[in-house]
Amino acid sequence: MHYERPLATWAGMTFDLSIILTSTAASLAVFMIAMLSVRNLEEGKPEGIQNFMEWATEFVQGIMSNSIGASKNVFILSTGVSLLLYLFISNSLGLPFSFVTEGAHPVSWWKSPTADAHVTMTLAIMVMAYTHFIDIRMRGFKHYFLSYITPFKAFLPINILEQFCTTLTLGLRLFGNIYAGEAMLAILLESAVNGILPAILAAVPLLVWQAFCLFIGAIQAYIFVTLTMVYIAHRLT
Amino acid sequence: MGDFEIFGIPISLGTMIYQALIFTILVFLIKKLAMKKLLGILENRKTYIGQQLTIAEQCRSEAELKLAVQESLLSEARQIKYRSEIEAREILEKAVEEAKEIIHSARDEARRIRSNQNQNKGA
Repeated sequence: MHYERPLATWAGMTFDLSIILTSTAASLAVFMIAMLSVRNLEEGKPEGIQNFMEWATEFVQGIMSNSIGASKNVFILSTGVSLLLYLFISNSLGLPFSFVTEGAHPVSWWKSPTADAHVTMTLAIMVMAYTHFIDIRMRGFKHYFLSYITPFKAFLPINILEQFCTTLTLGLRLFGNIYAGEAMLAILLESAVNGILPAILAAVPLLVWQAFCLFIGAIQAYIFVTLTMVYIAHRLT
Repeated sequence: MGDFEIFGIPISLGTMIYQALIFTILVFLIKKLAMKKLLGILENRKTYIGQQLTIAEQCRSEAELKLAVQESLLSEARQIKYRSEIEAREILEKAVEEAKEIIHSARDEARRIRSNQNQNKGA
């Protein structure tokens, strides 16, 4: 079955309302987790959600010190922690259920926001733009433009292509993994329409696939953060 | 059905701008409201644990010192006990011998007195 996108036009731009709904939900969830974890800060033995947030922070610090060699930059650290939590929650949002409105054009309202290339490509473009910004701020425009013709001028197209491809692969890797997971879930769910026996037969693979999607979601969030740190480190050194 | 197309794929610019905006806001909120506090706590705990470790190390060396003192005192006490036992045995042996001598001499004296009396009767 093909679902339409709930599109709305405002100020001359098109907005996908389902993505706005789910990405807002994911950001709110991350914000709530962060706020709850620092509400009663315990200096001695951390408990519950504070423990989780400290684990996430130290996990990202570990990735940073592995790739960049330092873990003191608060902005990069916050970006890494936000990315990790936001991506993991986004990747799992579409797993437990989905909202579909029927009608002349069936519309899917609730799915993983990262199962849409708009979201992942936006994040990838932001990450790559930030790495370019770091390079310009640290070494100036001249060095930045000269870096495109190192080691010699013939490398200009290759260097431009490299930046383009890095952005594309960073975004599309995440999108492909999550989209494929959701497509498979949809296929397994549709078998339930065909009667009791197919529904029972599909139930076990559905559960297994949901667990696998959760695992893939965690792995992809980790990969995205790691690659972000590697690209930043590439510009810093 | 988008604002423009790249290779036939419709791109909705509004979604992307919204996404960029909400993620930027999220990062700055987390940085300002959560991460700084959390890093402060982590740093404080690190120094606290470091202090506790140095204190524990001090206490350990102190305890080791005291233990050595106690052990030397104990061995001294053992030596004193050993020596006093030997001394006591010597004193006891001497006393037994002296007592034997005293008994011996007392018997001698008694015999002498008795033989003297017999001689006096006989005389």
